[in-house]
Amino acid sequence: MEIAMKRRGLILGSSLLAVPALAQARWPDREVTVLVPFGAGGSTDVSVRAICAEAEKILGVPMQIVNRTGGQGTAAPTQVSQARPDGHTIGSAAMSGLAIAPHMFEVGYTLDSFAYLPGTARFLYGIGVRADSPYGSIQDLVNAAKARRITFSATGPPNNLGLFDLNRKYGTRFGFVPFQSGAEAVTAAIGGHVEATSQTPPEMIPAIQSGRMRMLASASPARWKEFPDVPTLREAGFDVTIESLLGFVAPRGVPAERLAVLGDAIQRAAAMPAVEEALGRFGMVPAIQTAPEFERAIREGFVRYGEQLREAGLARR
Amino acid sequence: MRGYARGVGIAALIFAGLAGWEASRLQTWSPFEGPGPGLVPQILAVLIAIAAIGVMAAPGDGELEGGEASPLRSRCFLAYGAAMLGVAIALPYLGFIVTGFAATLLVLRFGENRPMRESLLWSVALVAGVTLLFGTALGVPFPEGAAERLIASFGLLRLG
Amino acid sequence: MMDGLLQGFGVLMTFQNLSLCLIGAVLGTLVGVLPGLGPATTIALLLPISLKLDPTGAIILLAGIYYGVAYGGTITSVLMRIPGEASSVVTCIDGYAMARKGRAGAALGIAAIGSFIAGTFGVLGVMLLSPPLAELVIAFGPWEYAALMLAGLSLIAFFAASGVAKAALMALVGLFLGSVGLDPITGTSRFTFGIPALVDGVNIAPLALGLFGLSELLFLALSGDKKPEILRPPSTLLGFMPNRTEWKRSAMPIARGSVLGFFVGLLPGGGAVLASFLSYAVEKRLTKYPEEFGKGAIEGVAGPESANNSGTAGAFIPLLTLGIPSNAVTALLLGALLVHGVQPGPMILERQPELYWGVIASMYLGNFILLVLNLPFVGFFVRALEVPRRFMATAILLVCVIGTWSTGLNHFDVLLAAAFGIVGFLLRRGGFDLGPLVLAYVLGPTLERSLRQALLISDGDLTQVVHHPIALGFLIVSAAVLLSGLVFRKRPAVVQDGGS
Repeated sequence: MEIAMKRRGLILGSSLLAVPALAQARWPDREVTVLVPFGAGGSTDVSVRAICAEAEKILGVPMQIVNRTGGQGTAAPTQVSQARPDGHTIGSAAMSGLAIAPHMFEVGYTLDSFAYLPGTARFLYGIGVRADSPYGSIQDLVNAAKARRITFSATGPPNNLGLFDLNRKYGTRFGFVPFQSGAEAVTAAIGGHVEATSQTPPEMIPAIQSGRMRMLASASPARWKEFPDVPTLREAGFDVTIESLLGFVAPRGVPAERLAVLGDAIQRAAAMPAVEEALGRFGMVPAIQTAPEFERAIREGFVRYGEQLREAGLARR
Repeated sequence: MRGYARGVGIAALIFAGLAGWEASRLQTWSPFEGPGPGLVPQILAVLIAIAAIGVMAAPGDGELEGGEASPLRSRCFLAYGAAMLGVAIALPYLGFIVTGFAATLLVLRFGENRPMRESLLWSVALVAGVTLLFGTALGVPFPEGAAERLIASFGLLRLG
Repeated sequence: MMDGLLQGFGVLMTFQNLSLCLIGAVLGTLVGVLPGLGPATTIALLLPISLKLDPTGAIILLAGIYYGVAYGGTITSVLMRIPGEASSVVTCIDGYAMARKGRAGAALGIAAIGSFIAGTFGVLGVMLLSPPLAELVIAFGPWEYAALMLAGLSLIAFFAASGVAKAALMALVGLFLGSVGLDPITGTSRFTFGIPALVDGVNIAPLALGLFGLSELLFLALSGDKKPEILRPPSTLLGFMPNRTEWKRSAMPIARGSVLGFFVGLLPGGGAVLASFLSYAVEKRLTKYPEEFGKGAIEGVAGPESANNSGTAGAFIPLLTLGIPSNAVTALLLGALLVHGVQPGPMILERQPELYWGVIASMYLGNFILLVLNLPFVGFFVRALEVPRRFMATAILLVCVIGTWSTGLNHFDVLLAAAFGIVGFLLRRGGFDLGPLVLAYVLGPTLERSLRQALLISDGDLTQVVHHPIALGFLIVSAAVLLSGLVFRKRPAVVQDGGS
């Protein structure tokens, strides 16, 4: 703690020294509030805090994290979209809030309500079965699901969208059984109540390491570093991935030079080793994207998830 | 007690009716192979109606908790009730500090018949204590009001 | 196992967690002393504060209150014949009679010692039994969960003092309130009427603070501000020592109470209250001095006071391993865990060992703190009763308001809390227990989800339940309990658990 304070002091000091060289008052001159749509201590919260802890050293002003939970993760983006566009209020944003939730229920914003900042990290997803399951590989599981209905557990979208996509593209009959938390979803698969699960590393890794579960495929664009032998769905021959990103957005209308300052700080912060370590604890990996790349990814995700959700019967009518 | 409990039963029947009416607009069985959002609320509305009839049949006996006399006759009760409702209603407009102070003063001065001096002292002390504990020490963002804006400008409080 | 416990003490041995354990235990004792301010109210009040802590710290604090209350309630039962807490109601009978005979010290002493022994036994039980049980409950799928919760709610309706019909109505209303918000599966809005604050459902803070805290305030306002009459507690520690015969007569009741209480605590709908009543009944039947019961028999204090403490501990097993609370207080603890993003269940030992073992270790320490604290500070705790109502009640009002606000940061929740305060007052006036309502409200979403999961897995076929013998067993139990509750009107009246 003390060391961190000292370090901040040093950086503040050095930025003060730099002021005369910059001629005019530099921005930001006061704290930046970051709205996080999920509760303190969760994966999103901890990741955002880790990134902001580095970014505030670069910006030279504190970044204040406010957990604005509610509305299934849509309360925070709503507030960001309505905030004064001075760059002092920004929010963390993921596929779930921006590209998925608007298809499922009424929200108070559209993708055009925001100015985009960089993307910083990617969530990982995997498909697993219980240890004594008859399905030894992802091909076995897919073949079985072509013959009969195979139940799988998952929390909400996007976790379940990989298997829905398999249903759509390969004629399988995976039946989605929703669970409230990842832990429950994995437990149901271990207990044999459902035949497979599609979840994230924090829940699956302990179960795999204790020998109760086998992972058949990574549903992300890359393999998991804990299980380098397990292929991705794409490597196994199925053109399916679940893409979910964590990045930052600001209200539409923030001046471009301020967006550039914030974007630069966030992008550099996300590359720090301390951030990678914090992300890893929650099964995420750094995935640094520039602001335009992040915006494009979110907009593409919005279209793609819209189709998938409508076909799965999960979209709002 | 019997009459009172039956009254609660009737209220519960009305509640069940409204709940069932609202629930009937939800889908009972979704085409997406399964039970829909309306299934459980619809069952519950029916069961609430049955239980309400059960309460009317067996309302129990004994005295009302808190005494048979109507609470509306007690000035103290009215003061507490008004303070509670008043705070809840005025909070969005006046903020916490002003409404909390007014409510405490109301209760002490008119509900409990305490001297004005004591009432004022305690109201100030309590509001200050709660504000410092929750707002300053625990960092809870406070509902916005004139007093909150003033204190926030000293950096002692965050606004929500 | 030892590793786990050591890890737990490691977690506990931080300044923050030790202080939280102490604060919880002291506050719990205080709450137990004050009539009316039950553990449910207190936990609801502290919920917003606990949000500022990490999950382990929060649960240590809240659990400290939960078992501190079981101790504190005894003091007023013995000295004033006013049960500070429902689980100490039976202690009023023989404890107060002992105090009238000048044995107040012995009654308080044996209650504290019995509580310590039973509490320790209960913690041992939690520690030894929950890992194997956690293994077992992996066999629990949606069918089993749904049936278990139905059985639990039926048992609660059966044991409620208000009678089956009233308790069932409350439980059903609670289940209904639990269904407000976005449907967990399809995302359809249910009963939200376009109010953004309702999208995530009725929040637990306005519900609990309104039903317990604000309704209590209205009862306080109605009660009149009179000073209670208190028998004097002994002034020295020696005065709390029971004499030889009292020791001898208490040994077996403490042992029986510890075991009985623990297993009753495991039952959904069980917990400390039922445990203390059953223990009293057992001791009355087994004693060699039946004529003394009601006139100051020490067995009637030693047994129930032990039972309510081990029952308190026992109730942690279903909470931690199944995520199923057995009474209103553990329901609020579950709510607190969920707010913190902790999902109790069989995997909690694997996923969050530091939380699990930290709580177990804090229960050991808490029991010790309580033994040390209970006797020397009886006089101090009793003095808390002399705080005038106007100070206490206005503080409750403002803390409830800011507490409700702070969990959701919206004005609607505060209005909702006031509405629940009035509804809670009106219901309690008519003899309705609010415990089943809150419990059902917390269980509701899980019950609905389990039911719909079961229907999804079986492709909509309800008859599949015959392939699940455990689930079938629970369903038969709940049917039997509900029917017998309706047929036999007279049954052992057990006072409401938690809340008031």
